[in-house]
Amino acid sequence: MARRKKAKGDPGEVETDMTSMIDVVFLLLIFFMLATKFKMPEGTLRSYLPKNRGESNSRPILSETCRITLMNQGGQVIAWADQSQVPLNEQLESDYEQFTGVAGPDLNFIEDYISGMKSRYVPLDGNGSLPVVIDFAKEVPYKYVIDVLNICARQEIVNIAFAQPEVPLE
Amino acid sequence: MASKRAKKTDYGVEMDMTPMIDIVFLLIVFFMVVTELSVQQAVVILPVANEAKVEEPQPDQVILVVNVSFDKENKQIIQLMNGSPLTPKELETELKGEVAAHGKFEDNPNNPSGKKLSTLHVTIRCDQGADAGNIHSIFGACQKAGIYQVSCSAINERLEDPYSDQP
Repeated sequence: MARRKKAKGDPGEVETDMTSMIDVVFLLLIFFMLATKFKMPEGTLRSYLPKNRGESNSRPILSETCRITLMNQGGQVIAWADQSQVPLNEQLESDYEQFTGVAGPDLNFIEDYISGMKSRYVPLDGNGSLPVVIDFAKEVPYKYVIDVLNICARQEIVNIAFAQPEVPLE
Repeated sequence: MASKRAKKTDYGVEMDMTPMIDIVFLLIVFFMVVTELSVQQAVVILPVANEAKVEEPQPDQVILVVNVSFDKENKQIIQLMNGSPLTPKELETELKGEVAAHGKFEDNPNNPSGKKLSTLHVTIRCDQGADAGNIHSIFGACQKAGIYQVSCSAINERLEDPYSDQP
């Protein structure tokens, strides 16, 4: 190569100036580094819907069912654990509550209630776990439903039902 | 190399830039790919649940993602993957279409003569501030489409305030 060039009468070597390319490359690198937002790993709470579309699968409700009710009263989420009202959190705990400035129900109360019910629960057919019904109004923020589901998962409760909305789905 | 240097100037020190440029290009490509991945899904502020399990998808598992998020007018929208906003009825139709396209079913042990169940999975990514009533309609749509394996997405812990850039 060099010899051929020399034969042509070109005495110098041909060099590409890399400086400008490196400048642009660094610029791109910095742009992408700043623009990248890494994705948080997302977990899931697995659930299985009743396989018979909920109609014929319905079993008679056992005498002692744990029912968590979530209601929305004027922007405030009120929870009931069976007959007892769940007190409100004294401090705004989660980012959602801090964002809205409205305190939510005390989750420790719900957890203590479910674990108490679970320890007292005697299944009628010998096996099976405490059935928990989560009855939520449709305006309740999704976060509180997931919070209750999370508590149920922590208490290893697998028999969870969502109460039907008052209006049929059709 | 040595002869080249000798030819030009005796005192000039040259640095070989090639490995550095290689690495810089590699980094650029990495960040370009990662950036594209992170904008593929709708912006949803997921709730926190420390019991949520990060699962590796099985090779034969097909997961449909239903997103519930807020649009620019702060209205709640339901989307299948990144599609257009759907009503619960439209979602049901879309899911039925996906079930038919997927075409894999398993027997229903509770009702052997009845409708077979799809092996599709549905993951619900719902904004933590959205109405929980959306879940009723999504569950209803899944059930009517014959999908029974449904999961709710959550993150294990929050590292930064998701509302910091909101008014």
